[in-house]
Amino acid sequence: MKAKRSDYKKLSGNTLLSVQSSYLGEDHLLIVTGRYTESYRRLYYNDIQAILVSYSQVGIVIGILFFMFSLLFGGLAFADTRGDWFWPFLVLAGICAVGLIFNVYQRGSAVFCVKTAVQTVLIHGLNTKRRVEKAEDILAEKIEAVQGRLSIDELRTAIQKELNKRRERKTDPPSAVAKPPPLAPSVAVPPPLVQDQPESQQEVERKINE
Amino acid sequence: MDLFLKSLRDSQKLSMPDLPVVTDYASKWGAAPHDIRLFPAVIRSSELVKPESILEHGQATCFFHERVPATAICDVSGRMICNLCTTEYKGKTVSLEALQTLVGNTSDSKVKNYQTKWDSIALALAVFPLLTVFFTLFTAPIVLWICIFKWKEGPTGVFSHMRWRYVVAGLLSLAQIAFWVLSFTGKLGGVLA
Repeated sequence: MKAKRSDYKKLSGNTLLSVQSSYLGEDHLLIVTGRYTESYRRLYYNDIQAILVSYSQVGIVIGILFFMFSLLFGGLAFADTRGDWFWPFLVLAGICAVGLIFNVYQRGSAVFCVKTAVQTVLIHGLNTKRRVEKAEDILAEKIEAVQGRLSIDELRTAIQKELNKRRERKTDPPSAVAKPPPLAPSVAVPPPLVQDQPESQQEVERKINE
Repeated sequence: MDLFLKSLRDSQKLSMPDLPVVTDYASKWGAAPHDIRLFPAVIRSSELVKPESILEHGQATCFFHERVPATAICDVSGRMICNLCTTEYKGKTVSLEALQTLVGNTSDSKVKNYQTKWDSIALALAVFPLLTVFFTLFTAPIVLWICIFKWKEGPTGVFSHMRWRYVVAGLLSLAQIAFWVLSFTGKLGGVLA
């Protein structure tokens, strides 16, 4: 069944290193992975527990590298303005400068994940702070439209309840669990005496004498 | 409810924050900082269905678990089923097996979770071997075969609606086949001249 593009709103696209894109559907987030064989994962808004974002230093490192290379190529170009290498170095310096500007515009790198009860899915396309901030607001709005908003009291009560439950489990031994069978005695126990065993000869004689 | 979240940057466990929206979380104790936004699903407890006690004498048993007492009757198949097998579908009490049948009949279930994009494969096979020319001898017939036999499957991406990739790939492959036929028959020079 074909999906109309109008049914979905693009949240993220492919990156240099990964082929994954994500789309916001009516009741789910669709994650499409693969270039020649696309696989689809649907994360329903009702099942999403959390959005996790972590900002990394990769963007800063790349920014510094762009800055250094633009300085280097710029310096080499202007060292010999009449030489054959002036224009190639200037173009390279320009490319690095554009990269640096783009990097500053994106305001650093980030990792964006969506957590459900069974999986935590990394959205590769949301890898910069600017994209993450935009996507987080849109996605949170969709999720809250389905689930509602979680209040501080609800969360604290649930955490406290869970902590109490775990404490109880630690202190009380579980009654439902069956006790293991008793260990077999190392020395064999003699069989019980049978009630209607015939009386011994000595006892019969004793009774007669009495 | 989980009391921990897994850090995105390392294998550390982060304790569950007590606020629904937190920024720069975990940086205080030296872990990678996280922004976390929680939703009500996080406090929803998962209800486990537990089998009832072992069957007593004369009690009706589940069709699928012969040692577990039946607690309901499937509205679709009429079988007696236990708590483990009972589920609901559109207001009916049904067994999991019946559910599969019911869901299997709807069009939604026919949506596959993966799709091979034959149009993209054909186009890639028609374009990339051009870099070496010689590989087109083998790839051009394959591309033509894909274009003819996979045409019916249509555009295969979830959002693709046009077959232009098949058309471009087919034309390229025909041109490549023509090139090789003319080369082998020695007429290529004449055509170029």
